Amino acid sequence: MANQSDQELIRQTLDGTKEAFGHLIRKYQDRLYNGMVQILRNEQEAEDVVQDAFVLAFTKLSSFKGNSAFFTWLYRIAYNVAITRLRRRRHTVSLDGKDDTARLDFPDQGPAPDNRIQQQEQAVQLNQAMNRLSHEHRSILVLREMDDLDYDAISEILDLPIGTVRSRLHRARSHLRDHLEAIMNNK
Amino acid sequence: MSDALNNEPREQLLIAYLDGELDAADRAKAESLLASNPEYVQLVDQWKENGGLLRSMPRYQLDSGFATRVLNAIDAKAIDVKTTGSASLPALNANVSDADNFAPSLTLAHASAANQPQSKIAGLALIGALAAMLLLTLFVFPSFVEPPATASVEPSENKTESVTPPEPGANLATARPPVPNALLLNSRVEGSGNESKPIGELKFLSQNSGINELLWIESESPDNAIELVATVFAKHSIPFQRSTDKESKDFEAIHIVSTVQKMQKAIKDLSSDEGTSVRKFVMPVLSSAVTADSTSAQLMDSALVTQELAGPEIEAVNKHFNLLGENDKETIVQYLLMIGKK
Repeated sequence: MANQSDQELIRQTLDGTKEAFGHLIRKYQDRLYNGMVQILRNEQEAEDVVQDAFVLAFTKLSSFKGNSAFFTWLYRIAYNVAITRLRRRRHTVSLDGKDDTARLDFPDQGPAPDNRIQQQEQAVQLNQAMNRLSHEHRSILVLREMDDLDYDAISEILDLPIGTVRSRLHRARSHLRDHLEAIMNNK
Repeated sequence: MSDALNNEPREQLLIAYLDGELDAADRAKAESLLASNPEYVQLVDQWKENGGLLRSMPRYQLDSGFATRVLNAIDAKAIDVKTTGSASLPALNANVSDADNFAPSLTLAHASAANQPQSKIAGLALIGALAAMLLLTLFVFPSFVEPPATASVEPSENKTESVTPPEPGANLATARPPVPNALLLNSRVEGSGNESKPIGELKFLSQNSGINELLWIESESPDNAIELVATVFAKHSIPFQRSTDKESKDFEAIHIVSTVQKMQKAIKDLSSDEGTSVRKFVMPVLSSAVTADSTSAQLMDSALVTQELAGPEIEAVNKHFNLLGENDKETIVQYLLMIGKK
């Protein structure tokens, strides 16, 4: 079952074999989670979103028509859930005065050999730069650079015209470049 | 055209070139641009390098038990994939650029005074009730107080279709323990269609809320329902506002910000008024299976899962939801998802 296509796993799920859906979950959970972490900048919230997205996807599985890749469809569900969370976070009033804005920490990879130190430093700076981006720009960069999705898929997930995908990517990359430069110059 | 004005379109062309999204003709243009402009070559190289950095970033991963937890969550919600209805992709993301101004509104439709069915509670009308249906009032946060809004009372002029009211017999829910998540909502949904008219604009104050209560108030004198609610709320210093939306002249709004204690007293007063009854529904955390495409029955079944309510009451609420237009239903579900989520 693990090597079966998404289409076959979906068919089996709709036929009542829930474990088939389990395979779909295992196949896409990390990719989806990574994307959501980048958008939400909070690992726990991202996990909640991914769980909700899979449950929603299961509920709506019969509506998946196969016009796009399953992952694209799934990602859009997760993205919508994440955006709803972001909006709710925006309306949050923190009574204790603390800033709840998420600042994602660099994932711990354990002790690094010397030749990776520079790479790690670069990654930390990149992470800081990503923290400075709006979630719209982070989202599109994650979709393009980390998930390697083409403009059509990005357009479907974000519900944007192709032209807007292009222009938003342009701005996102420009802002990322500017932030990185500022961080490297310790601004 | 100056170079400055040409830069952005050129850069966007190069973005698409970098991503392999150009047709042959545009690809040739991009390559020509790069061949004659070293600064563009440097720009593309920077984008490429940053893209490489992103791709090489460590990935966040879930633990091996995640899939099992999801399947358990599905089982817990007793979702049967064979019987759930099909629908298009959830359209939960409104225009993100509007996020800063995002204030989903919840307006409550109400029945008109003109077409009320006769019932044992003589001439019940849903209206103001609907106003009260103002759902959501309450959130349990006595420590949070918001400055009272201006209160004004205007006569009702709306006429909407009636809905069979639920049977009498309040079944007040008990409070649930709070869950951590400060939340301030300002929601407004506008009704549409001839069957229902918006009646309420609610502002919610929720802090660590595990409680969302729906008030359903029925009055023998539907024309005075709004005034009754307004009077009682004013008595208990519950700030509210009536809508001044001029585009929708039938629009009435009651803007409520209150604490649970005040609302409980107000409910008691409302109930003591002869010919008026109050129902209170508590909506706990909603099932994540409830989406914008859920039927009202699914929504209410999920929302009222812990309540022991008579069948006619749920049916009446369902009828109310069915009166709403599709856009309203979706917005209300979105709203409930927001306030109902853990």
